[in-house]
Amino acid sequence: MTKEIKLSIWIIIIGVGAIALYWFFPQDNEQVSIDKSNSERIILPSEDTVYKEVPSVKEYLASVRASIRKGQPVLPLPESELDAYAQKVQALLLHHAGFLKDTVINGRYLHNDMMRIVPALVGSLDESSKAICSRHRCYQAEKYNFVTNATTRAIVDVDSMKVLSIQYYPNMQPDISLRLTHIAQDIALAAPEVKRELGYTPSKKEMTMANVRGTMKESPCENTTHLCVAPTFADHQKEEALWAVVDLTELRLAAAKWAGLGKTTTPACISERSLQNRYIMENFCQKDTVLKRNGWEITYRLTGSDGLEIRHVRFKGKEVIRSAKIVDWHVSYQEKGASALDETTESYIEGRRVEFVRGEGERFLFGYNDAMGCPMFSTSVVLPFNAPQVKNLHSADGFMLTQDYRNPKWPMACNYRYENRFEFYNDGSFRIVGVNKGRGCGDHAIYRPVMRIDLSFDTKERFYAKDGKNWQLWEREQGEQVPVMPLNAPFPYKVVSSKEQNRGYYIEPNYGQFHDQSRGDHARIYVTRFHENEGDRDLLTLGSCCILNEDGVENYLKDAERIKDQDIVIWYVPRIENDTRKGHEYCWADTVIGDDGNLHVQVWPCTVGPKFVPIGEEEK
Amino acid sequence: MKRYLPIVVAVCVVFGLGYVVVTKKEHATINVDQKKHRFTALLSPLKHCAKRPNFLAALHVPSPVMIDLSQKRYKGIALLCGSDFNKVIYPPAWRKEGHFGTYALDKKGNILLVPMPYISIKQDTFDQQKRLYVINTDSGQLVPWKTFNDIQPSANNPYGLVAIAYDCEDDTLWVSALDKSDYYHEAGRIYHIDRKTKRILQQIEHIDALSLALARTKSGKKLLLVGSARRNVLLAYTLEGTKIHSPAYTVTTLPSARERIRKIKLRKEGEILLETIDFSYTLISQSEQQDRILYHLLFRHGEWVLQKQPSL
Repeated sequence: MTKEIKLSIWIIIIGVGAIALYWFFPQDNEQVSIDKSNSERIILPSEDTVYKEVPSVKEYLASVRASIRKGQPVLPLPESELDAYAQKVQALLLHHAGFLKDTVINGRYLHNDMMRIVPALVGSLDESSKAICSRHRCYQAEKYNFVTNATTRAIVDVDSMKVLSIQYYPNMQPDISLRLTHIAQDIALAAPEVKRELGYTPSKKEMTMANVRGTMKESPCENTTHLCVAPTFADHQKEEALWAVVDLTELRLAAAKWAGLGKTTTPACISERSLQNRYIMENFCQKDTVLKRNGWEITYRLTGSDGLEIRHVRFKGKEVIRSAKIVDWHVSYQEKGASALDETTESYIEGRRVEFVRGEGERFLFGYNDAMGCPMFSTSVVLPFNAPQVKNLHSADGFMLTQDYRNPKWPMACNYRYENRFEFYNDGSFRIVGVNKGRGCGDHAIYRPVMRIDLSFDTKERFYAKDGKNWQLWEREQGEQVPVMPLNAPFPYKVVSSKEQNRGYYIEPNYGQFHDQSRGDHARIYVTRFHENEGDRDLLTLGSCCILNEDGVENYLKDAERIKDQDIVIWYVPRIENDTRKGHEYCWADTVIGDDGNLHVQVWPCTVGPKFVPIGEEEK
Repeated sequence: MKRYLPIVVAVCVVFGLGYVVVTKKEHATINVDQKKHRFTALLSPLKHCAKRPNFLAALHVPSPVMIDLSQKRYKGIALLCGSDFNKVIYPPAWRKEGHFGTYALDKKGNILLVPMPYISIKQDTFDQQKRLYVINTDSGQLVPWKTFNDIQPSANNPYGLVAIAYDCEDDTLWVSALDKSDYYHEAGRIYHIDRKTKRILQQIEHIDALSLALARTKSGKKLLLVGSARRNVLLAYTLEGTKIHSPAYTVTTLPSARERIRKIKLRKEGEILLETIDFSYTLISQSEQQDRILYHLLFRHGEWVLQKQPSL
């Protein structure tokens, strides 16, 4: 082989190699960007009452009420925001039936704001208006209906003072008025969270309102039925900005977010619901939080389907609870007409599968199981709103840890709102509380929250039930209806350490004695031996919604295992019946139009759950 | 001079091969306006070959027939027919399996079904999420078609298989699964499967696809369109033969950060229908019409324009 042929072979080998490399080398295409927004810091507000005291908010609310009292549902723009022609247009439209068409429901005026009146923009005109407005002076006026979340736009020929067109835009928000811009800024400035995050009291000059929309786009606040804007405080040194999402429908700070000044943090990404979800996921679903207060040390977290869970709770250094949570809410409705029931196909209400169970005679029950869990990556259908909150008890002798769960469409029919609450008292008592805030699908509803309570005294436990004057030891797994006890001796059960009989807790069921308008628990109680797969980890929905003499826990009693001197778990299942009668409402919610023309939700909660009183403390 | 001929030939061969490869690769490249970061390739649907299931003819069911996966009146799948779609084909055997989220019709008329977890979790819900089902075109029997044992839904992410697209040109399926994803990690997969042998031809990792569709560019390039489950975007992956090429192009971004594309329908050249839902990997219901938003994605003056439709 000659030298030239060898060289030729090398040229071919190297050439083909280079071509192959080129073929497989990726193109310089647009990359799929990774959402880095998870690293942005989110702040959820815990205080809502402060905003009612902001002078511009007070003045605004007074103006809205006065306007509605006068029979004028649209709050006009002040003259300072209008030129002479716009003032005439406003006067015309405030009495124009077409423009005011959506301002009354059932004789009640709805809160509307005139948002802007400006010379008509060509893009807003239809063909016929264009022809007229090319010769005449035309103005466009926009109002926003806070109740229906709709915008109305009118085109007015100012020369002839005729309304040329009126367009309705449901679920659309317009540019906000100067008055509302100032109110949004005042709310942001008054927000304690904003001051805390910035480390000083900011001034209006430091704020920009980049998120006021140029056209009728989607609201940046993804609670899309509300009108929201996002005043911003930029820190150019740190290359960060604090976005304050202000809800102008509820006149409060909805959320805040620290984000870089770069391209990834466009205002469109700001949304109350997304921010809440991320904050809750990162702080309470992905990790445990420890709360230390009044001698208590509590680890808590939000679970995938078992609501708010407290774990490894200590009082004055000694563990008292391994885990406590509400694993499920069984929801059922009683109706008549069982003979006409079609059980051959599954049924759905508001997108939920409904279970039907035949009762006695013509009665039947239908309903479903509601799992409460994390707002993302979970099996929940009722989602957490805001983060877990720590509040003082009204009785001032302790505090509570509470989490609000809602269907996003609550208080609409067949949507639910629950509160998981744990009350901790200064004397070492605690109470596991479930609160139902309606609204459900109607009357004849029966709610059964399934509470799982795993006490822990560093040792095994014994469970006793009161039998007359004596305490009866439960030797094996069992359950029963909780008896009604006299108020001077309200403890039908006690749990004690197997080694120290005077260390433990009495169980005080709720008979309505806790001053919370409750009508009692009417509960069943079960005691089972601890097994990790029986609820120590996340339990998926448990048992039937609608077989009223079964709570789902019965499956764990089948073997009747020994529980004396064992690690035991208490299951406590209250039974609540709702009431929709006027003046007697219970477990119910309703929406009314208030004197300010806005929607207000009225809630009649029902509160259930037992209190655990340390042995020895009851005599104090 | 003659002795240098082999060198000249070798150089010519290399240059010739290089020219062919460069031309072919550039031809395969999709237009992206790099300045505006906009996807500017005109897309068309692939050749349509879906066939009506044979068992409908045997039952003398007239056209048209609607596939009802709304889960409102019928669990799983039901076929609606007759005037106003008031007649229902819903045999008891179809009720035994779980709920279904979407489907694809193949060229023989088999209906391939993708499962969906729905509100209340039952004992078998998670197992159902790892199975692709089929209604046989001849017998009308609903049976599992393939089980993906690597799919493991859980309480922290109840979703398994979620989307499907059928390529009738090469008789293959594209299906996606979300189960391995969590809050921090995008760990979904897209499987490319041979319809005849059920063999997985390719598996693409780290992509959460809530919807899938196939399209073709003007130059004949085949694309896999993906509605992301994590972001409000429609992505396009180029296909070389049976192989997928990443990274993806972003075709369009939806206006709301919470929207996710659940359905992609290529109607004709330059027109795509997108149906979006609010999706957060939970079981909160998005089955109501008002929970869904419909968009037209139209190719106008060399770029894709998103238009929101008033309602479904």
